Parts: sequence; structure tokens; C-alpha cells
Amino acid sequence: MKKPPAKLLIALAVLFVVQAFVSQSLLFPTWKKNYSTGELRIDRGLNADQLLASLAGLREMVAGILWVQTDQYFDTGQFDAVLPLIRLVTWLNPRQVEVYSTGAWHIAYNFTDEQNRSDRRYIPIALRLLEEGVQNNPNTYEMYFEVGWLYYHKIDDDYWQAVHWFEQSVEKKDILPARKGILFKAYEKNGQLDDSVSWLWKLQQEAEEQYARDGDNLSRVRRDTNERNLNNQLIRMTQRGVFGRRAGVYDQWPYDTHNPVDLNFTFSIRVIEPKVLRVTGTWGIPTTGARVRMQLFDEDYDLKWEPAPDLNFDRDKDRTFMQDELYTQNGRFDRKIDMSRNPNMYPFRAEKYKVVFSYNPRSAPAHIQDKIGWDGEGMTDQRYLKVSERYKNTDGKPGVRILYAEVELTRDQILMRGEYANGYVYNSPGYVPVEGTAGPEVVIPRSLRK
Amino acid sequence: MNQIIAIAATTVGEAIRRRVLLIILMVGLAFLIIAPSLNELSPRGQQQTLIDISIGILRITAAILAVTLTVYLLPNEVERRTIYTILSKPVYRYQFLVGKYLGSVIALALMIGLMTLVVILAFGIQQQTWSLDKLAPLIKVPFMMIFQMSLLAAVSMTFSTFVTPVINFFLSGLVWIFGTLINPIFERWGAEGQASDAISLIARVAHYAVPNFSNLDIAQGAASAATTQIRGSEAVYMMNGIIYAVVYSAILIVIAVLVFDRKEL
Repeated sequence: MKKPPAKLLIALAVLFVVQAFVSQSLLFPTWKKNYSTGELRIDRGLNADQLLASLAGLREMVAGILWVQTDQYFDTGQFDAVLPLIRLVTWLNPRQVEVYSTGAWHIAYNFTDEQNRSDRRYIPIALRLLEEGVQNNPNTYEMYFEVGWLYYHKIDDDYWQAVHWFEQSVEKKDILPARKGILFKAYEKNGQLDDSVSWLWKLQQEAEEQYARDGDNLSRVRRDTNERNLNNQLIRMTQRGVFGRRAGVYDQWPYDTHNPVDLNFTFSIRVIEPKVLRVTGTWGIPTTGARVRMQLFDEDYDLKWEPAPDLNFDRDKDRTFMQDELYTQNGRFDRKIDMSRNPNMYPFRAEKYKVVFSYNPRSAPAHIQDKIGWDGEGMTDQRYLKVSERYKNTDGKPGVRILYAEVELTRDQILMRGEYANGYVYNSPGYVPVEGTAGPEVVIPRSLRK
Repeated sequence: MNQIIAIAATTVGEAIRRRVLLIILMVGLAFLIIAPSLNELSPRGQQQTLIDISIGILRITAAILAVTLTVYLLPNEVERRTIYTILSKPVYRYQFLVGKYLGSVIALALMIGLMTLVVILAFGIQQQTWSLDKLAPLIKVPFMMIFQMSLLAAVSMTFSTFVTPVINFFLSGLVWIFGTLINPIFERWGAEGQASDAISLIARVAHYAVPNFSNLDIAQGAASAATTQIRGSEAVYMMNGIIYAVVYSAILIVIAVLVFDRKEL
């Protein structure tokens, strides 16, 4: 056998070094940054043909097909099948931001009981999915925005988290102008009023510049909207005495938040059937738009609005956590809460439960905040007023005054067992029975209010 | 050079005469079957999924074409004894091999180009958009696919110098699968401390030596909804990818020439 020519072997060696250099130094670092699919997890949960297709470089295609399948499952109400598929799709194609956002929405919002209360035990799981989305797609605004929105809208609590995530989203180049505005509301809910004005001012400047540049209808509308938001915010801060307080003249002027409205909150919890409660109560907010938050949960269940350590949907399956927003009309509320039809959501395994009623002025609609203020300075209650350190202020004021009432129920009481076989009633001090429907709304014009 | 061009031209002609148009028609048909089933998704989800699936169909078809075009190139010539007629003329073996390879690459590029055109037309009509922004993934990814498949064709070509077509088909398939996973494997196990020393060493050696098809796959970035996620210049990355594909294909063709030169015909 003749020997291969030396020149050819040298050329081969040189070419090999060149390809190794190009691959290792020029391509792989950029590939890792831009095209990596993250951790190699193609082996889990795929059937044989899907696995084969994934191995043949068709991960995105398999992910696409599975995503269509996921959507069909969702439309037909097969929620149990949805979650593993979402997991699979994000493993196969971690760059598809829509899967994270839609998946987290499904998890956080759409697993509901018969009365459309969502299963809040899944919120940490939704946060976890979104957190993964952020890690895999750090350069687009969307994932940051989605996390912020979940805190702002669904959790409607821990507003500093909404601020934290929205602030990161607005720094990304691809953010849509219309989505920048929400940050000012998050600042407001978090008590950062000056930041909210600064942000609105910045948006207003941007919109003004864009209008001067483009002069089209869209940029005009955007400019007008920002201007209106900024004006409203300044007017509200003025009317609610924010500037007056800073100038030390708050007590000298008739601000709306003077003469705090006495909530005189009372409530009653009646167990009318096993796992069925009728909750009634009264308070001093006469108009609609305010909802009292009610939570019922295992006494030792500390459900935190933080990302779960992993996407395990069975983790808290033995825990009970119910949250409802009680609609109030004419200063009263009356709601039947039926937890009997969803044993998976409300397993009632613990011996003791906490029932919490709360109202946070930061979550209140604007027309109610006009009276009670952002910090609850315009409301009082002889029994259940609490100053919450959770909602701090940035201007050195004490925490927000919130309404907070807490009682304990036992498993036997909720399940009507033993001595509670005929039911159980808890009436708060001063409770006035609420009978019949609330009737038509009574709107009290501002001029007639005390 | 003339000999190489003549052989390449003949190879292209042969490839086109096969029932390739039927395959292209099938790609378009597959697209039309899939597209309406995506109507339930959100508009953006629909577009994204359509792009992902279209690119997937293109890739699998192109990979099958690349392998089937090349595995029979040499064996057919030997079986039909046409190779003796060609090599009896003033044509070196390396010229024959390079000509055959270039011809199959040109044929592949033509087929991928035609399939891409079908997909773009179907996508544009289905989505009622001709915006370059929306169509960009369907142009960029198939463009890189041409180089990816040229590399795969080089793999098959090299194998065809010493194994039978059936074995070649499976060997090339294995190299394709391994080559598409090589970057994720290296990312997962190649770095120190990620796995045992032996596995880490194997991952590193493989990353240097195995044809890396994942280097040429820009679908994750290009086809994702937010192309703004790409950091650095995509054009520079694509250019480096092309250089890599050309250099690695050259290595394989040189190996093929070395083997073919010593082969008893």
C-alpha cells in the first residue's frame, strides 16, 4: 500500500487545527450565549418518536408540536396533561418566551375551583417557571414584565417585587412603549410616590420627543395619555395631602383624608355544610369597588409569594389555602364559600385553620383611596386596624394602616364533626346580622359625605 | 478544474432527474396540513410555532436528501461500471471525488432553496404577511442549513469510500445525531467539575473532533420571537459557521480522497 503524500497529511493537520480553533474560540462562546438550549434534558417524558426527532436536531419542531397539543388540552379542560407538557416544551425550546408566559398564566390563573377561585398554592410554581424563563431569555423585556405582572395583578401584594421586575423590564431595548407605563402604578402601590412622578415625567418627555419627531396620531395619543397620567397623579397627591404633609400644613387644610372613616368592621362565619361557609359582614366603605380579602389556610402553612424550589405540582397537595375577594355593596358583604366540591384544592388535612380578613389601601381603587389615602390615614377601626411594616414608605412615614382580622377554626368545625355536627358560628364583636340582599347601590356624592 | 466542473455538472443533472420535485411538493403539502391546526394558538404563538415546525420539516427533509444523495454516489458508479469509463479518461480520482461532492452540494443547495421558497410562499399566504422581519428566520436558518447539510454530505461521502450504502446511511445518521448534540453535551459535561474526569475528557475530545452540526444551527436564536435576544453580531457568527463548515468538509474530503485513492476498484 502506498504511503499518503506528506503534504496532504500536513494540510489535513492544519485544517484540523483551523476547524478546532474556529469551533472552540469563535463559535462555541457565541453559541452558548445565543443559541444554547440550556440543560440537556431531552430524555424525560418524550415518547419514542418525539425523542428520535429531538435527537435529530428537531427540538424546536417537537416543542412546537407539543405546544399545539398543550393548547388543545387546555381548551378541552384537561389541565393535568397541560403541566407536564409545558415543562417538556420549555426544556426542548427554552427560547420560546410565549410558552413561559402562557404556561405561567395557566398555572397561576386557570386552575380554579367551582366558584372560580384560583389555586394559589400554584403561584410559587408559576413564579418558578417565569424565573426559568428569565434565566433562559435574559435579554428580552417580556419575561421580566411577566414576573412583575404576576406580582402586580395576580398576587396583588408584595408590590416591591412588582417594582423590582418592572424596573428591569423597562431597561430592555425591546420593551414596547405602552408597557412602560405600568411601572408608575407599581411605584404608587409600593408607596414610592416621588418615583412614580419621576417615571411619569420621564415617559412624558419621551412621548413629547417622539411626537415632535413623528407627528403621527399614535405618538399624539401616547403623549396625551402620559400627560393625563402625570396630571392625575399630581392632582391626587395634592388632594390626598401628600404635599401638604411635607409642607407641614396638612392639618390646616380640608384634605379628603381628614376625619378618618370608621370602618367598624364586623364579620360572621357560619359553617352551613361541611366545607361550606357563609361569610357576612359590615364595614364603613359605602361604595362599590372595594373588596375585602379573605384567606383560609392551614394554621402552620406559610405560603410565600416566592418561586418554588422546583416545578413540583404535588408539593403542597396536602395543604389548604383559599383566597377570595369579598364583594361589598352598601357597606356589607355576604358570600357563600363552597369548598366541598374541590377536595384536591381544599383537602383539609390540618387540625387548625386561620381565617384572615384584610384590606390594604394600596390595593384600593382610586375613588376609595381619595378618602382613605394611600397609607390608610383616612380610615380607622377600633378593633382591627393594624400598622403593617410589610408596606413601608420611602418618605420616613410609618407603615401602612391596613384592616386585619384573624380568627381560628378547627377541622371539626369546618367539617361539622363531633360537637359541631349541627354547624358552627363565629360572630366578631359588635357583629350586626346581615339579612337579605344588599339592595341597590347607594352612592353618596362627595358633597354629602361627612 | 474543468474535469471537476464537468463531473459536478453531471452529478447535479443526475440529482435533479431523481424525483426531487415530489419531495419539495410534499414539504409544501405538509406545511398546508399543519398550518390550519395552529389556528387555536395566539397570533404570535401561531407564527412562532409555524416557523419552528417549518424549519423542522425543512431540516429533516434536507438531512435525508443530503444522506441519500451521497451514499449512492460512489457505489452506483462502481455498480454500473461507469467509473471505469470516467477514470480511463484524463481524470484523477481526487477530481472525480471532489466533482461528485461539489455536484451533490450544488444539488442540495438548489433543493433547499426550492423548499425554502415553497415554505416562504405558504407562510406568507397563510399569515398574510410579507414583512422581512417576520420572514427573516425562514431565510437565515435555511441558508445556514445549506452549509450544515454540505457537511453532512461530506460525512456520507467519506463513509461511502469504505462502507456499503446501508451501513453508510446509519453511520451518517448517527454522526448527524451526535453532531447536533455535541454542543449541548459539551456544555453539560465538558467543563471541569461537571462530570467525572473520564466523561469530561470524552466530551472535550468529541467537541474537538466530531463534525459539529449544532454550530451551524441558528434556529434557537433566529426563529425565536425576540431576535433582540441575540448578543453580538449574528452575521459574524454565521460567517464563522460557514468557515467552519467549509474547513471541516475539506478535512473529510481529503480523508475520502486518501481512502479512495488506495481503493481497489
